[in-house]
Amino acid sequence: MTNGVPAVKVKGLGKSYRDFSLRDVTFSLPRGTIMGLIGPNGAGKTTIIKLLLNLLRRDEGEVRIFGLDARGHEVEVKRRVGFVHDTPFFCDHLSLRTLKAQVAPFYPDWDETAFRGLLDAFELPAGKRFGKLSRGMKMKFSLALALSHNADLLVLDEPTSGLDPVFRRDLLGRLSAFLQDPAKSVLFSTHITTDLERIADYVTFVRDGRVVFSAPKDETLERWAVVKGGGELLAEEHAGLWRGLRKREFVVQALTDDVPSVRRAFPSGVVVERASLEDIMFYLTRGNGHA
Amino acid sequence: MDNALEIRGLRKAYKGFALKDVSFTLAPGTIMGLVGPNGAGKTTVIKLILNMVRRGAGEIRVFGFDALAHERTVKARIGFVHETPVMVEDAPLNAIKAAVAPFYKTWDERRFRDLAAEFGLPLSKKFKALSHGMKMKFQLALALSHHADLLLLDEPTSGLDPVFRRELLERLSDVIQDERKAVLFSTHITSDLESTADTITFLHRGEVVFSLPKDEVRETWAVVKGGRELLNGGGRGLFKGLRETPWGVEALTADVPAVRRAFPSDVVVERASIEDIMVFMDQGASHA
Amino acid sequence: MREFLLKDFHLHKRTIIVLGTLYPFYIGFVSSRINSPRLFALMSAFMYAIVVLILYTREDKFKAAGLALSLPATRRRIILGRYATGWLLMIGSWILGTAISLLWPGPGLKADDLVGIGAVLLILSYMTAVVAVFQPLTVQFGLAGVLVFLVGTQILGVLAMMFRASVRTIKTLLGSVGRGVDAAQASFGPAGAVAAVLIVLVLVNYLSFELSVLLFKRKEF
Repeated sequence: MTNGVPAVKVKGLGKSYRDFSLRDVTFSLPRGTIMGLIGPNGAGKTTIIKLLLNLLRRDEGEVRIFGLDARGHEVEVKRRVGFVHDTPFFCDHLSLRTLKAQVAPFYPDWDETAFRGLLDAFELPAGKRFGKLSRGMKMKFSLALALSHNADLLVLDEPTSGLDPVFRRDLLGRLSAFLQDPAKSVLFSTHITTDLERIADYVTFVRDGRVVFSAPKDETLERWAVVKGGGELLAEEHAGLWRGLRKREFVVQALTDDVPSVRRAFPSGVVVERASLEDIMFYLTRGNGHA
Repeated sequence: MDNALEIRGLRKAYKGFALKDVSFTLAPGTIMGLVGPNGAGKTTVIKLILNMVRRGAGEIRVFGFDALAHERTVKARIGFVHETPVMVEDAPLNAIKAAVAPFYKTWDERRFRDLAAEFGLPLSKKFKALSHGMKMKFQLALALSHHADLLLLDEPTSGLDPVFRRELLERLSDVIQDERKAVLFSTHITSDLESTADTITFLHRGEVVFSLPKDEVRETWAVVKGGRELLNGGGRGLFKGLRETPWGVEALTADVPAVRRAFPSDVVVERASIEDIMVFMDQGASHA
Repeated sequence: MREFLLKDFHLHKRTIIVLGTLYPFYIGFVSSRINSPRLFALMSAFMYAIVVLILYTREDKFKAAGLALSLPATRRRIILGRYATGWLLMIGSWILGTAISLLWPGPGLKADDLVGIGAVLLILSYMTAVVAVFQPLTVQFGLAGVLVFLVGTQILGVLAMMFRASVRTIKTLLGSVGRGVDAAQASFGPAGAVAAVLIVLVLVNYLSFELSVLLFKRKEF
């Protein structure tokens, strides 16, 4: 599926704040694929995204977009990247047309026809003032801008937050369409893991400023499982199987990434179910157990 | 025991939108998910219960009391979370709490402090300095701190990560362990509903499409996948929404037996998720 | 009503404390420089009203009306709370302002002009006049209402300066309040005057209140 220079390559990325630090963040996004960034609030997803675009200064590590250092080749990198913020920050009282006129000149590859086409498809009137748009419309406008300068990489920070499923499906459809071109890639962060499950090729889970794992989505969903049973799961000898555990009333639920061992330990009497991304996130964050 | 919430024939007209004949019932000891696309009227319904906007027509009863005639009694038993918070943003959380607490005879300061600690709320910070998720958590802490019998939550999980969402939903389930309490929450994140709601009320363009126990929804609604024959006239009446895909036709139906009779072979019938229903109905409207 | 007073105090603590100190100080200063008790009473009423108006602009700015409507309170009570906090603020500012005025050295108003029965009735009357107008105005128009009130009165002042005829009209209008108070004192003696004036003021407040309730009940949030 992919070869050559990855769209995004991050190695040992780090950034320190007073009460939070990102450390040793490493992952790769191959060309032509889509990666979802998930993690609890405050885990560092937005920080990572901002570091990719050099909106924040990194303290350590490497960030390469299409093989180019994000800091050293900032302008060239940004020309090839379309970015959608979670809270679009344009001036409320300016019209979409004006906003576009402000943004377009920065991109030598600006495609006016594509932009107009997208405005039509999204049903956005060019003369309307940005402040008058609903949240979903604002997002669509940001997306239209991001898709109109032949960007090879789309980076979206929580694009679907607060938007209804109809819109979300529509957006995911557009991202899929964008990826028809094998040279294009997408990186997006989200809280809505079902969207990720639907569309992502890779998943990177960030927690407390560290990458817990970064792996192909299908593999992840196959590897992890939620095991439901009674108190027998709590036995000392099995502690090594669990990466997160929750006890609610008389039911014990635990997350494991080693299903064969679980089946050997409990040949019967437990239910083993595929873990959803949400399960994985939940147990790895709140499961008072291991990892 | 009285129903926690009884809505009958509710109407409200705005310039470009109207709530038409909205009726549904929320039984005590249950959680109802109010779902629908943006602009369907979910927030309007909640505002009508709180008398933030004026009713056009219809009845709203909370625990048997008319929401207008007994406004104070009713609101004393309601805990609310608004999607667009209604706080004085400039004030610190502590001050907002001190402003709100005296209105409730059942205010439980201990509970609030526990919740604040659990949610990690920075009580001395100003409301506007909080992230959206934190703002919602704060509203929730307030709502849960006066032993409200009815929780009215407008998009309480919006902007919250899946971890906290799940905890919130678990907490809501805990609340209704007390059979006298009930929860109504509106959301876009349909997967939350599927895990937690007992009843689902689906609102679309101001009308209630259905208000049913979750299991019944699952049994009634299905996505039918097949070839172009589904588009035929006879088929049309069966479907609430239709979509043509590169591989054929997909349609939403609420009458599986009839579909099976009309198309005895070559169709695949799958249970529809709430998200499916929403997406199809939105498209269905443009086909209808 | 207690909960309403507490609510506004907590939500606007800083603003109340700052303005509630600033304006009385300014009034204190003015009292040492001015000679006309009537003019002073009118000015003070205005200044103290502004403290309340600024609170309303804050609420409007943050769209916080929705909060009161979600709490256990009827619309009528919310308006009552509004009048209660408004008056409490104004009276509180007046007490502070008067104390400062009494202590401020210099020529200008004497003690009797500040705390005599006539003076007290006068300031209450002007405050009532101002409240009766700005409450319904701000209930209906929010921030715009505050601006209309402030800008409107300034325009009146400008007109007054431009057209000497209107000066007389305005003076007559404003003076009528003072003359009314004087007349009451003359006709009824001190106790009677207090009773008569207070009855009128309560009536005016009540009418203004009912109007505000009417307007508020029709508003949507």
